[in-house]
Amino acid sequence: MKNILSFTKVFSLKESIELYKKFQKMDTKEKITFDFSNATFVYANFTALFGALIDSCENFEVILPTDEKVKSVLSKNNFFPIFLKNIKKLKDRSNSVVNYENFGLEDIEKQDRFSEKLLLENLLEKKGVTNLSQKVLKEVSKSILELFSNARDHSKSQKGIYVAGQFFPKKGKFDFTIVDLGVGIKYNVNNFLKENKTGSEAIEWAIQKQNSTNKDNPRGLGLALLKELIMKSNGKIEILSDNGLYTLQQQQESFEDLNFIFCGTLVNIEFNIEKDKKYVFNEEIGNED
Amino acid sequence: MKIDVSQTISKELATNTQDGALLFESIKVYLDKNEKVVVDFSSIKMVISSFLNAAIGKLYGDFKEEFINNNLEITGLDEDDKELLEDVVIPNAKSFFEHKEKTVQIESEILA
Repeated sequence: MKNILSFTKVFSLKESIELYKKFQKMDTKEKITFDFSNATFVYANFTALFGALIDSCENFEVILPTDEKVKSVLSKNNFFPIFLKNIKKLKDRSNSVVNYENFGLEDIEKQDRFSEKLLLENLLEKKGVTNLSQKVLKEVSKSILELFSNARDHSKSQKGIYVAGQFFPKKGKFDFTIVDLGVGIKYNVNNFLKENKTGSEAIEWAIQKQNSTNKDNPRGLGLALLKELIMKSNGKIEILSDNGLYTLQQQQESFEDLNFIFCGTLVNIEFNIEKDKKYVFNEEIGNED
Repeated sequence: MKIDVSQTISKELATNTQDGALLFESIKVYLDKNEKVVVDFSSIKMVISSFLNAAIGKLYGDFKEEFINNNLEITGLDEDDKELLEDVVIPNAKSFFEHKEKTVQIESEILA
């Protein structure tokens, strides 16, 4: 019974953290069961985290949910089909998800294909993000790729980067999560500054423009640019790394040191896609048709 | 010399630092020979800051600003990306290398 991770409702980072804390106490050398049988709702974007956890196990079992809706959403986003051979990927007719995917740090070709889908094939627009101006949409897509670039260049994650997204048309939200189980922001920042910052202090340092742990090249714009964009569009960012948690919500920032360590970095972003609100940049006002 | 970015990286999207490093090397070859370089982004559909940092920002660590101003011309970026380069990436790179220079100087003074 010890090595069973049971999923019931996963609506937010909070529930995902609770699951992670339980997972942390398990022995990953033994078989771990990811039991979705009682899952009644799982936000598909958090499969980026659950997939990373499954991949870190030597031996695992995934039990399907009895709830058809959960089964269907996590089969549409390719999460169950990746881990269960007998489950086929379902067509995402309602355009509700951005697929669960894992990218090796060196797998530039696969990463480029994702960039192409996002940028050249207008993935977000096709999925129903129609209230963002083309300019804002481009910035959102670019922000996602900046995050990607951050994870690729800083995480040293052996298993690479995990992503997944979900659209909530009724709530007018689009959530996207990117996870790596690498060294984390605190390690990189303290190693670079030769300081002993806490997890949240390290995140606070890393999200400032111009701050980067890259010793040879100028970097450090990705998170700062994303923060600007989220501020403008009244969205949400959560960054969980080591024992630090950063939240930007309703244009308010908070930094918190937690009582556990997340071995890696998880960035969760939420964009507003309400149909009745149109997001444009200030300079676009007056230029709209 | 004119460098076509999409030909140099064989892509329409400038979204990773490895490709940025490739462009940096191509530009550096000509600047090292004191040749003027025009870097043309017009066939690039999208560029992100990480790419610009690795390709253009890094030049400020190898060459003086005045030399870059006189010998490097960037064309084909749209207004937003031009703003990203001129208002964010280049000032960030200049400040990064100024800070780095000072750190190296302080370290060598301490070690002397």
